[in-house]
Amino acid sequence: MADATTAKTAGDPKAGGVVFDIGYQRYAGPREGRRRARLAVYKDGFRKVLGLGRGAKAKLLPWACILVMVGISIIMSAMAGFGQRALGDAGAEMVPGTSHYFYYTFGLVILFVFAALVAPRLLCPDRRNATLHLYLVRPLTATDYVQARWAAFLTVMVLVAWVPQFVLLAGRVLGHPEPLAYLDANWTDIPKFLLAGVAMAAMVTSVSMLASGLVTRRGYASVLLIALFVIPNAVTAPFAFNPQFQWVSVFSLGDILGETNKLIFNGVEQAEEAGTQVEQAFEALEDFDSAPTRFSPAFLLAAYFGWLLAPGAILWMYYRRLRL
Amino acid sequence: MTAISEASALMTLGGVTKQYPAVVALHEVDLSFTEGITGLLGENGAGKSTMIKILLGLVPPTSGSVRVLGEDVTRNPLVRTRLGYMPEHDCLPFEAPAAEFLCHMAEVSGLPAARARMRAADTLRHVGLFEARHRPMGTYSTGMKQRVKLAQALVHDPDIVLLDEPAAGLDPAGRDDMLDLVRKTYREFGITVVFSSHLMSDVERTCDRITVLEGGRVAKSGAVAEYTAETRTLFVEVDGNRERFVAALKARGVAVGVGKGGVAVQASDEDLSDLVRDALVEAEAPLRRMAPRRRELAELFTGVDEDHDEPGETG
Repeated sequence: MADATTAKTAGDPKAGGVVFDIGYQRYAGPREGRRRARLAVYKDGFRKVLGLGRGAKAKLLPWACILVMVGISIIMSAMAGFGQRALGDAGAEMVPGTSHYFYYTFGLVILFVFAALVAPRLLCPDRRNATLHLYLVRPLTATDYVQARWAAFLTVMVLVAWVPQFVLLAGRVLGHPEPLAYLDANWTDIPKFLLAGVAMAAMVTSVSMLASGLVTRRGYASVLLIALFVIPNAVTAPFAFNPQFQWVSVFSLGDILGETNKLIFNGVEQAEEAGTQVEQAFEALEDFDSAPTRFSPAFLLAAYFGWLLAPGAILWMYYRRLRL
Repeated sequence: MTAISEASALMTLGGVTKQYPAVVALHEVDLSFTEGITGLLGENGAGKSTMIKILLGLVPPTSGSVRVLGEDVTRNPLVRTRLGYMPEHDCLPFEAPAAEFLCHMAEVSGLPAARARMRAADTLRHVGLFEARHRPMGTYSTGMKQRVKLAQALVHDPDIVLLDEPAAGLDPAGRDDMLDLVRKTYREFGITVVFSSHLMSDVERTCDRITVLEGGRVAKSGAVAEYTAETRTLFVEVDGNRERFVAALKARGVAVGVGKGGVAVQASDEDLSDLVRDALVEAEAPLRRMAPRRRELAELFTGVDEDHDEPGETG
């Protein structure tokens, strides 16, 4: 039912206009079903993690972590550039800790912190505020919801892992007197750091989403995640260089990801099992960038995929059985 | 229960039982919902919310069949593009502005992004929140939150909307506004409403049809008008000579009940109005108002039937 009222336009106060209230209009446009629903949950998840469209408080933690990671890669490329200019090609290689592999060894720690702080934003509030009800009464199954949130967080994690590596690459290429020659000699680092980034991001995503899905308070989820990242690492550390008990490291996320990183960057060569803990530690320091893995590739891959798939499967089953 | 043909039913429950570990929430319920506003009335724990969740496919029935818009909602989630749901409890993310939240919910219902934005703004205008649409919902009053909850149920323009206690927690003015919106949802928007409440007055004011649930069973179901039909009792108010009027009625063999507001008159005679007219003339009592007494929906629960409509104080 149309209802017309006279109104004056803002531009010309004397001019008269007619504003029509055309009443409620039924929607006759397209309805894109589950595909659109999943995409919407994915987009919303991506924005939530990074605090996009929210105030400064929501942006502070994720962007602080990202800035720290990018800052570290800038410092690393500056160190490599300094070594290059001061000592030549040989000098650049002598500057320790400027490789893409090395970046991930401690970038992983910041990635853990990032995940612990922001992953709970994806699942905890929807359950705590009961907004999940509103999702599940739409053309969306619990599986769709969890998959879309999982994919959103994986996307952010991959980007957060890759961006500093690209900054490091750009720094090293531009810092080299012959950028093309540097690229020609080191181009294989690019697929390696891309693959290693995805591997790290996927596993951390899987674990983080499980912890966030099981509790409704974000703070509890963060504490649980930090404990999960730190405590197993500390408990298994004494066994790290003891060949008889190295399997214990399978319970440490940090060890599994560190070894997976080695496997991707340095190939399938496996460490000799001989030697004392101290000797191996010195060897590792001397030749950090080409250190072999402590585990057989098959064992390592089994452990990696166990950590990747088991939390994802538990989370999926938990949401499928969730009764509202 | 009034029979409803399968063809006209938008939602049908066939022998639905829902058994939880400790309680049977619904027991062998056969029920159909047609176009209009249907009130689900029952005390807390009667099975209203469980029935709504089953209709939405959120909870599977233990046994029986559920058809919504001709589809099995548990097997075909796409049916839910045509359903809206307003829960009783809080469900809004407090940090998000209403416009953004509604736009997101419209997209989750399958609308393309540009259309979702338009629908969100339109829907917020219809529920009276257009001016406040960019404020975080955590700053809203209870009434505003209830309106957002209704808006998110309507934003994708469903064919049916299920409202679980939509006026819960509102003050009298807010309750009136919300019930007006519920009526408007069907009468102006053309969206069929199923509306649960434990308050008789809300259902009586708002609904075309009513289903009364008691202990997980359908106790009564039918048009509200059937339950509030006129009785054979006339309610008469006079401006003076009331005692003479009552005496004149009694002299004609009419049962009379005298209350503070007026006189309830009942007789089996078809010409009751004529008898009242004659008594008014004889008593010279000026008539202020005369109307047939209607039953109240509350009588559904108190078990009062038509025999009890007789005036309490008879002559």
